Amino acid sequence: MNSRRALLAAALIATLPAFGCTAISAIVEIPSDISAGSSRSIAGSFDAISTSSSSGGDASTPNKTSYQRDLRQYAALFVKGSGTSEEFLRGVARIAEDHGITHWESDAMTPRAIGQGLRDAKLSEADMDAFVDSVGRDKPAAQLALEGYRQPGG
Amino acid sequence: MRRLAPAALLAAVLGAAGARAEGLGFVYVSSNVGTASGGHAALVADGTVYHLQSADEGLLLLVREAWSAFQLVYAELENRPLQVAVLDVAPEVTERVQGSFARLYVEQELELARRESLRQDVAWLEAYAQARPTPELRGAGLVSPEAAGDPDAVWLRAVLHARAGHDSLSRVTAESERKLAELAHAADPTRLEELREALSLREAARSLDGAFGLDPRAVAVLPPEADEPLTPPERAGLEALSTRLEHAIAELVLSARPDRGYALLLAQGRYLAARRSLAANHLLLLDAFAAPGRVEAAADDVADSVRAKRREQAAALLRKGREQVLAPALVDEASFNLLEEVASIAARDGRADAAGALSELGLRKLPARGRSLESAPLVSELAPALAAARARLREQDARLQARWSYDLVTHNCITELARTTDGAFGAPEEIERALGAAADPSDERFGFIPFMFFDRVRARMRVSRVVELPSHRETELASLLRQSPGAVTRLRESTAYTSSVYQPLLRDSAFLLFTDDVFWRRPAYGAVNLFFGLGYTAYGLAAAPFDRGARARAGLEGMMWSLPELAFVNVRKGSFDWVD
Repeated sequence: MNSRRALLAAALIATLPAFGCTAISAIVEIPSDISAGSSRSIAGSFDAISTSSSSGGDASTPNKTSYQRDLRQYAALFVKGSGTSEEFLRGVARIAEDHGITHWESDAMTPRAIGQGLRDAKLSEADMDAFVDSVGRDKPAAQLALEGYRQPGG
Repeated sequence: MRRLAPAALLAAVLGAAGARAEGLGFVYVSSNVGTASGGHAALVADGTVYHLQSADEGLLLLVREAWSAFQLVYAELENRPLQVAVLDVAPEVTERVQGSFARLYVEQELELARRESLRQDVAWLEAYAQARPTPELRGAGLVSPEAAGDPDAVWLRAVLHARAGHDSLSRVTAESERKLAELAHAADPTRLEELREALSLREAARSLDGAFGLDPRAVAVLPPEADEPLTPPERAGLEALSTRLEHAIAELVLSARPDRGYALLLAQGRYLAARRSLAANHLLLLDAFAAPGRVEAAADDVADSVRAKRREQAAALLRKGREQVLAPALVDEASFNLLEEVASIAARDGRADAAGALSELGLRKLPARGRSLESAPLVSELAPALAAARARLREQDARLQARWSYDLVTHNCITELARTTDGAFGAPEEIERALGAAADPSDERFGFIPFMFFDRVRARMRVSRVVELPSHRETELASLLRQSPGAVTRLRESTAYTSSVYQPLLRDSAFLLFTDDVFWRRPAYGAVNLFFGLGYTAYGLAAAPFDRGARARAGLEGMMWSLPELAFVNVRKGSFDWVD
């Protein structure tokens, strides 16, 4: 540790009592900061929509990518734990709403990400087949889930 | 395995390639006064920043945001220089790390959702016990029974009958009634979430069948500067949205989702707002910040000039959204929700924080204006049910505290950042292969302090380059000195009260001289600041009856933050309410 770093550490430790334990954890609590950051974020989202659209939909928006990633992780977590199908659906709804989506059934990303999550959770082919049969094998959602399961990197 | 050129990340951090550049890096945020005194650290992956912040009730929660929003807040408004240690890793490694943070986010969201549901249970049981109306159900207040028979809603009902069948709504009503009867029979007070879902579904069917009109209070009231007439492409976009919503409502009516009541109410509200917009030739958007239990933000203390700029920005943002979402008819639900958020900001004098932080990655706010609906309690013995519900809520709070509460040494923004990064991989050898070394700083004394952690990252992990990003004042000062080099400019910009870049703010503490851009003179400047703080405190004490001690506090804090400067250490840097 060089001397400047040591001094900074000492200064920090010395001032900790004045600020409690939040000194090593940023809090953005200034309303104008939150407001500006939020506005910048929305502006970025509009730009991403525009970019995605001009690429013919090939480039996913950060919001969509994040939705897919979250849902995939959720499906994997849920399968490893326990819960009813209603609880599973509530969890999907919560994650979808975080991304501005309430009618998540109409979004092809939803079943695909769930299929990817089931693969991550190491669900066997037989169990996946049973899952697809229970949903209804002919339904597009079941096919998308199967696609996600078989091509988790896609 | 293809190695990604670290230049791609550099493009992102320097803003040259927007938010979609690829790569992985750790970010160190320098300290500033107040809660930022220890500095901060974050991880940036493919243009997304992951970091942990203290939130309400002492919880330490994961925040995800776009690089541009993070840089604006930390480097510009908070005026804290950033350093990014760019890691030389494969794209697969970056994706795995992002997956690990997504897992943490999902765990956190589900735990918070569970707490919210239990809080609702307590509120509902309290209302039953006190014979009060039950809490408002979200979405029910978007439409109004007083406006039954609305012509647009009548048309929507006809479309629905054609698409989903004439008996579709009566089937939904029967389904919700069956559920309500089952819940009443079971008399299980732990199933209140199901009760709320069934009530919401029944109300959605009632409002569609009764052709309820839009509740005018559910609409974001735009100021004149943001309320321009619709253009022909925007009208076409709204027509496309209406058609899309007609499909969505029919699909939701036919769906088996037990929780679809809110989605139906929202779709109906949006449809009615779109039809009204077309009739009035002015855009009507639902208020995304109105929701049961959400309290309007208190007025903040920014200058009038900042308020004016915020209003301008909100109006400009709405214009941008209309051009990029509505006019090209890119009216998928998530994109359209952004427009609603912007309208809600414009309706609140440009306050984008009115309902809490918004993010490009989650944290969306959906229109959810509520209305209380009549319902019977599930049990007659309410006192024990309420006691049990409160106990469940306490248990959940304890669970949250145990898993997510902040601890200075063992659970802070560094420890969780490192744990989640390492958690993307299995064995230590795998971490080493992927990142060069584990991010976990527990093998180093004071490794939990942000700048010590960053030093460790630089020394041990596979860092290809460190990029320094100046603070807002540093950038502005450099620009000023390029335009008019010389001692006069330097002297003017060295004091808080003569600077053309900075305006003194009480939250920055009282100080006279900037010490972040000097080193050898720092102790002398610190001494000047110490005496300035002393004098300011005396002035503050005299002014205390008029400002409740705000200036006296700033003076005392000014003295305190001058002490490290005496020992060559700078913490205080000043901050900004607005940057263009």
